[in-house]
Amino acid sequence: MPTLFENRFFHSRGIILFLMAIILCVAFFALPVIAKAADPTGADTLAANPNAPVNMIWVLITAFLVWFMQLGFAFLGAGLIRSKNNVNYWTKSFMDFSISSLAFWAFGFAIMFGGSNLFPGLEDGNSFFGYSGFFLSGTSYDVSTIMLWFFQMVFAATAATIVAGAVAERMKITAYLAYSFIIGALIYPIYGKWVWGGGWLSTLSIGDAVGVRDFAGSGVVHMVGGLAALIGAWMVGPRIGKFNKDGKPNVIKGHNLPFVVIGTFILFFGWFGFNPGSTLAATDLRISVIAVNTFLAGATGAVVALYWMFMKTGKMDIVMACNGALAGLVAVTAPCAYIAPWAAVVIGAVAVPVMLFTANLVENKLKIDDAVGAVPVHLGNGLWGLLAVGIFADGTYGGIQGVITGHFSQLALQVIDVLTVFAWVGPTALLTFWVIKKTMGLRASRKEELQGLDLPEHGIEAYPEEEKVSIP
Amino acid sequence: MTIVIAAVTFVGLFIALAVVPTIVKKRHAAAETEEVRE
Repeated sequence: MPTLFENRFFHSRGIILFLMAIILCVAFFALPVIAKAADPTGADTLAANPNAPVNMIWVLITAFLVWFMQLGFAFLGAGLIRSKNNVNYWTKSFMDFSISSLAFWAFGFAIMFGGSNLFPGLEDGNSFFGYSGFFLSGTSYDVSTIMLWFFQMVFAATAATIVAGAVAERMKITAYLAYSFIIGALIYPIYGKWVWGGGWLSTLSIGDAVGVRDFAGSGVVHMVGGLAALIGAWMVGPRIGKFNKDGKPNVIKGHNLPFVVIGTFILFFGWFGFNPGSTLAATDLRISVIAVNTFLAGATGAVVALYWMFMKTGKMDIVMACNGALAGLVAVTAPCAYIAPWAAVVIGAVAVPVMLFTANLVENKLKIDDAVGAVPVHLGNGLWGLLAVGIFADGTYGGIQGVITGHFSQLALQVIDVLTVFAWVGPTALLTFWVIKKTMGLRASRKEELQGLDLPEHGIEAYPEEEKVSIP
Repeated sequence: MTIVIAAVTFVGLFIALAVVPTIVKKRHAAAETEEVRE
């Protein structure tokens, strides 16, 4: 049965020209209005704040590190899937950040930070939705605003790419790219506005605690990406052969273990941009504590996961160690600034059972095929990370106090934050994938899936056999 | 005004991302079928 967009109505040059005209109009209107720009050279910013250069260098370099995590995600996911789908996976990984970042430039940033008044051009917005800074034009054409955009853009791109692994080996690339646009333009920024853009969650108060705390994005980035991944994997359905008729899951092995380890190394390295960079200032010397907390949680996750599996199987499972490290890193992302190093170790250790529990729930109970285990790492531990703020915050940074200091209000706020992620991302991701399914179709055909998506969708294989040349 | 432009762009771009690839793919499939027939 043809999808809506396969209908003959859309098969005319007219509709394509119409769409191209819309894009050209937008490009014209979106040109920055230089006359209205705030400080596009940086001269005024430098005169007003002598610390501006060091802070800007810090934010930009850490943003470059976070951008580099895209390669980590690509290696990790590519290694965990079969070789016949690798060109498809690398293409999705490369293009999802490209598309979501453009969506974030045009719409997402304005929605997320409009009304926050953090920097020039971000004056208009309410507690739910911002509406200034579209296309980085007008007064948002400013060195500080654009610095913030770059740092936030790489976070938005990270949330988008988390989904690639869960839906790998069967989702059409065109459908996936359409989804990337929506998460970068709407799903991620609206929730991000509530937490980081001066929205209602950031001002909500219970008892002596004011505002939910998610320092670098266990919720904003990882839970959002992880929940969208869960919904996407459910909507697209399991890969052929993943589940037996009795519902028992089969293991579909990846094709390249070194890719998995390389990807994890790169992600681990990138996390030193993700978490310490979220101070948005090198003059905030808490960055050393944040970096060490990040490291300790990741290392603990790897050690606990490795020995957990060793106790169970008698084998040293490097894939599990990699996932354990990532689980620890995701979990410590929200609390990294508010906790002492010992708490980072505890958070990293608990991240492993959280990951295993979530994996069991997704695969054995819900019967959802998450091809690379993205949901247990990002959703399960994003949730754990948000709660960990309310438990382990020791009051030394920002006055945030958790249960260990005898305060329970922050934990209550963090629970509300968790529920909000489910209430917002669940329905919107569901609607997005449903619309895509009904219009352009979500899933590759059975024939394409069995053959592997590389040849049907890209006309090339990741590892072509040596060309057979006939020697005369 | 900027909000209106942004909203129109959003709808336009999403439709473009959804419709154009579907049409292109369909046309290529039809062309390949025709080649095989010939």
